[in-house]
Amino acid sequence: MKTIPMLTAAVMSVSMALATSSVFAATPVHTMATGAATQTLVVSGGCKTLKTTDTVTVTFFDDDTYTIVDSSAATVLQGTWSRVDSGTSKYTLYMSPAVFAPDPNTDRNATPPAAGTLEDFVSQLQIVGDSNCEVKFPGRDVNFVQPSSLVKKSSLVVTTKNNEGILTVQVKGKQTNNFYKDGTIVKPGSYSVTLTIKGTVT
Amino acid sequence: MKKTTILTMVVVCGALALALPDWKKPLNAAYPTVKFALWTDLARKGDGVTDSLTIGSGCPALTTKFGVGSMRLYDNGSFVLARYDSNLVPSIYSGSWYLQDNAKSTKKVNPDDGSWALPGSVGTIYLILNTVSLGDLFSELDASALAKCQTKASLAGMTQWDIMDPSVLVKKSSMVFKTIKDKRNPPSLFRNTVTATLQMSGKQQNDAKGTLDAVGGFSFKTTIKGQWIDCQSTPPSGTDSAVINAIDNIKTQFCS
Repeated sequence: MKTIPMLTAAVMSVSMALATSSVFAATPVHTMATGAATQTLVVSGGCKTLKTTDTVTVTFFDDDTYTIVDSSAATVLQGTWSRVDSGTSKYTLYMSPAVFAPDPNTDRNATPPAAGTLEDFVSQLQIVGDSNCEVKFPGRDVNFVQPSSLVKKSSLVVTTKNNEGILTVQVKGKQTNNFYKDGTIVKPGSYSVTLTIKGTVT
Repeated sequence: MKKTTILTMVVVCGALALALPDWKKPLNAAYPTVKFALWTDLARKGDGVTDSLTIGSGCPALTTKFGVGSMRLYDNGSFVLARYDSNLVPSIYSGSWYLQDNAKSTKKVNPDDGSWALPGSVGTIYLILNTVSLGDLFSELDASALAKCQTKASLAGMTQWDIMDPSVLVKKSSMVFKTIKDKRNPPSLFRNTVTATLQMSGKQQNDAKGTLDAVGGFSFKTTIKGQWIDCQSTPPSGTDSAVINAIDNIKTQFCS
């Protein structure tokens, strides 16, 4: 299976990641250094399900922030985390991605979302999804509706016996497309993505 | 009399406008324009804000039905939401919005019957609060929940009830814009109605049993029912002058 980075716009995301370098000043508390990631993207309306794989690094810092970085060094997701123990056999790290969504005082044209925010994640998915849908619908487009994107699951469960962890991020939302009719994108649909990362957590 | 009803509505809305927060616009060309405004009109049956908080950990649930809220949705995709407590002190939140048109919901308004509702885009608006605003909301819920827990005799000594922010999942965050014929507020007038719902659940830490950081669950739902107006639309030609005046007053109060 061809392995491609999670992000197609890696250059833009890396430059934005540099702007958040303050995150890396914190000390890692938990790390999944070589996580085997599988991302499954479903876009309704007739597109083929897209599955991609990569090796990623997931780091949880002592300032309660986390990052998921892919093999091209681009930040896929970032946000805050907290730990809940289930007895002594396992623990769960709950992860909430940062949401930019600035107020009216912010010029949105001059200040785009930072790499790894939920908006950036959905934007990257749209690029990948649009390209994938063009295989069946050449020249047509799909737009993912950012404010409709809900995080259905976002956590890492670690078994303490062997420190094996399974991280699951699931996001669902609405999209509009013109797959079957040229012109303005108006037909509503949905999209969903599941990102699963497996590896050893230290 | 329909005109009297309209004037009465304007007076009520005017009184409410005095309590709206003064959102200060910076002097820059990039500042967006209000596209939609919504507000709760306490003179109308059904309008208001209802909060339901399931606290867990043996605490009684908290339901608040005080009903004042307002919202401005800007044409750059941002919004500001104000929720008021019983002292009319606002809590301000912000985020992004997107309107998904509903093909069935466009109604033609008859200006001859005194309708003030404006035809235009209606449908479902998706909302997402930014991380800072969510944190502010969680802090308010923390305080409300702890105070509610302490009303129970066995939990009067509680000192901790904190939402674990990263555990919270938003289940619903949207509102539905409609233009309806309102039979509950006669005479029957077309009006623009909105129902907004935010629903979430997650984990919280508490000391209900005397030990800090015990983990429990919680859920929260808030519903805002009110009126809305498209600030950038105009009444159709032939609209009664009293209706036009009412619309202009509403825009002056809510669209700036």
